[in-house]
Amino acid sequence: MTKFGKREEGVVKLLSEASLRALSDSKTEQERFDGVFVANMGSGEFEGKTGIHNGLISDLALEPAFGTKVENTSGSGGTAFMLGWLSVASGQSDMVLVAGAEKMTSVSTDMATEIIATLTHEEEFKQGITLLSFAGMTARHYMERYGAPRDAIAKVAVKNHANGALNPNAQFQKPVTLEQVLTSPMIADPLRLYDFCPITDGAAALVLVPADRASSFTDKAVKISGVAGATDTHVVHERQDLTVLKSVKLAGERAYRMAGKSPTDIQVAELHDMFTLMEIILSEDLGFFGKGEGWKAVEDGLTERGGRLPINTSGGLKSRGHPIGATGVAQLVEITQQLQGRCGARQVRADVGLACNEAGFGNSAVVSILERV
Amino acid sequence: MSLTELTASMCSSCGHTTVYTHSRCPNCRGVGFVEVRFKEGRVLTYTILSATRPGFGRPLILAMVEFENAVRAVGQLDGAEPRTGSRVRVSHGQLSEKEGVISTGLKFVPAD
Repeated sequence: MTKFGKREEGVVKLLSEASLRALSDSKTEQERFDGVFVANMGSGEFEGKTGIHNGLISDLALEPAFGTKVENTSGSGGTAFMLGWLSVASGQSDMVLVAGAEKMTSVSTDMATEIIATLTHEEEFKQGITLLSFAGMTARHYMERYGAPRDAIAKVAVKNHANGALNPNAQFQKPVTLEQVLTSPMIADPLRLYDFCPITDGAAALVLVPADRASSFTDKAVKISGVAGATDTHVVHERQDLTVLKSVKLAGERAYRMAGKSPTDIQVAELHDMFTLMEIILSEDLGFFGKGEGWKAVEDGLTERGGRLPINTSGGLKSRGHPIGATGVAQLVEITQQLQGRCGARQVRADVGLACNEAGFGNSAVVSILERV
Repeated sequence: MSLTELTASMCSSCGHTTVYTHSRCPNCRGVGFVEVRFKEGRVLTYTILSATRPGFGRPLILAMVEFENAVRAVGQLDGAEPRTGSRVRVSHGQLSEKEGVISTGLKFVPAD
């Protein structure tokens, strides 16, 4: 992956940079690729660019590999990964590049918020809804219903910044204190600036091959043992329970079944923490903790690097940054490198890892389970 | 259309009701609907947005309101300190003004 943050390069150059690293890392520079899946939400809206997958293929001389852009809002990365896997698993491709990127700082923060808000229902959009407002409403509801203290939710940001501080590719490489989170500017009451992920440029990439080919390139190949997606209602208020994301729950159940694993088998996880509480909700919907109890796990330090289940060792969306199309791929890069033992100061012990990438406000989700071979 | 009533769409087959229309019922996939109206509901949750999109006032109070049969809607709340559980009624008013274009629609106001 590239360094995340504010970058001068456009989206295709970012894709190339991350992809070249993936090719070099997997020793596949001179190999023939059959498929290229490029995750990106808004190259058209952010930069007025379309057909960026063909731009990438051309820049890296990957012709005649067939490519496509995959757009599933903030779940584009996980979705491209799932389609890349499908392409290899079906026998259509012997080698696939999955790359995700977003260039967001080409527009103002207001404009970026507006572009992202277009993923909501048109009637919601008309009311002034943003993803931030769903976050605020959900946080208040969760706190009132489960008695979760504000501090516990804020501690997700403290934890993820502590992890991001050890990730050279993270946008924010500095720790924050609980007090800094709780005194940062109010954004969507009760949530503050430091509860939210930032606006980010960046890219990430992975190479997928059939399992029986992997050992000819590396002795550290990681196996994709489960991957599945599911969709929840497009309209957030039509969900029976605001604190449950059915897309995540169902995608998780399917991925566990496919992998022959259960939540207790997972030893490291990257969860889509677009805001602090979302990490907690996902940790419940994926079965790591009971509903309404995920905040206690944060309080008890269970999700820190030294805890029972380290979550977002990369820093998460919160600290690594959230270049929309890149995020799902960056999550899988982190899980892969954790399983390969290449994460340096933030390395944890793990043989099985999970990534959960969410589109919109849980409108759709992809859950992937990776294993050390 | 009444400005003090919210029009929702009820499935003729199963009775499932949503404020936004669907081509097929989310519950039973039926394709026939009748209109039902709501006047008053309770605030299920809300947020006060300090960061709003261009054209929207700051701060902006957005509330998720629950009507009978757990039918919900999201909208701007005017004229009161928001509180979970408080009763609100349906109204109509300006939602945003962007480059001289005023958009109007559903608003919530205190019921009492």
